Amino acid sequence: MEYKEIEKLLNRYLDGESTLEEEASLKEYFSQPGLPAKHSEMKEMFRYFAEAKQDSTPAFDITNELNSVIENEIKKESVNRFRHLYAWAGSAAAVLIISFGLFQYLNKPEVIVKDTYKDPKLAYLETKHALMMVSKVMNHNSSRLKYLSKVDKSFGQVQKLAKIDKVVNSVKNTEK
Amino acid sequence: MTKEEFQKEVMPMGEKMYRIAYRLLGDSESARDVLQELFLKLWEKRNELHQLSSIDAFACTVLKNKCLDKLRLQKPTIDIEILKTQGNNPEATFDHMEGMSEIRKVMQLLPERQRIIMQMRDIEGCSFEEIALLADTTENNVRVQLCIARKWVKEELVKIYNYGI
Repeated sequence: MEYKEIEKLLNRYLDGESTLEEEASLKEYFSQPGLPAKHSEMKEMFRYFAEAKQDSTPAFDITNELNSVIENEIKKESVNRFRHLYAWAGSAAAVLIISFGLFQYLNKPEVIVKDTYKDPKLAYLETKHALMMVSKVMNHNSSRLKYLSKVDKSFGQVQKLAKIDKVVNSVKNTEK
Repeated sequence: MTKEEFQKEVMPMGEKMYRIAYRLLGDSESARDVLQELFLKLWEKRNELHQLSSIDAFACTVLKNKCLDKLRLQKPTIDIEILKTQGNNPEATFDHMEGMSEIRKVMQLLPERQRIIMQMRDIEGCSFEEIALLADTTENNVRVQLCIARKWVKEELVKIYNYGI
């Protein structure tokens, strides 16, 4: 590069007007050996800039690190998605169970008398038959009740004892 | 944006973003943390990135905010440390520069803002637009600050070399 051109670029550089490309060519120019001593301070500056880039060079593998950050995040996201799903499924199941229970509770089947016979005539005959059975049993048992009248008769005879009492009393009176 | 697109279009910014974070925070561990946070955020927003005019500019803004958050958290302890060392030994800050090349010392003596702007431009090769975003100022102002810083560093070096002779 022409020395004059370098001079011009240096002025632009110091005025803060140079572009990144121009600065790169300055860096390149000052990195070569055997330069005139005139701008040794500028040479020092540009050499320092190249060297200081080492300070901020990451000591770890950036791509690896960022990939693992993203992978972790993807894992977390999918776990969260499933967690949401579980929560939804769980609450849906709970609602279903509770509403089923409530339904069962509110719709308790009423005791309804069901017809056991389809033919009314047959039903009538069966009923009659059942009633006849009842009356038969009742008749049979009431026949035993006739003995109760004997108890009544016995009471009548016991009442005669009262007359004895009367006689005893009158005897007592005559003694006096 | 799929994972593959993200890896192809967004991840290559990683190194530059790390370098910027390193310049802003001055420490590699913090820069690494901030870089992870930045890419998590970018991944979260992956479906909106294509609508942006510049993913780079968006990444720069997010990075700057994350660095500022980090500095806000760190600052009190750092200040106390510096005060302590300076209180006990006024030459402490110069001692730690011993063994550094002259230009490193000169760069250390620049005001922080100018130093960061100069490092971003001359070492990391950031555009004026990016630096303006990061420094919360205009591109013109960046040029002005850069001009002041570059001239000052040059003058200091000239002084050192002339005294040396």
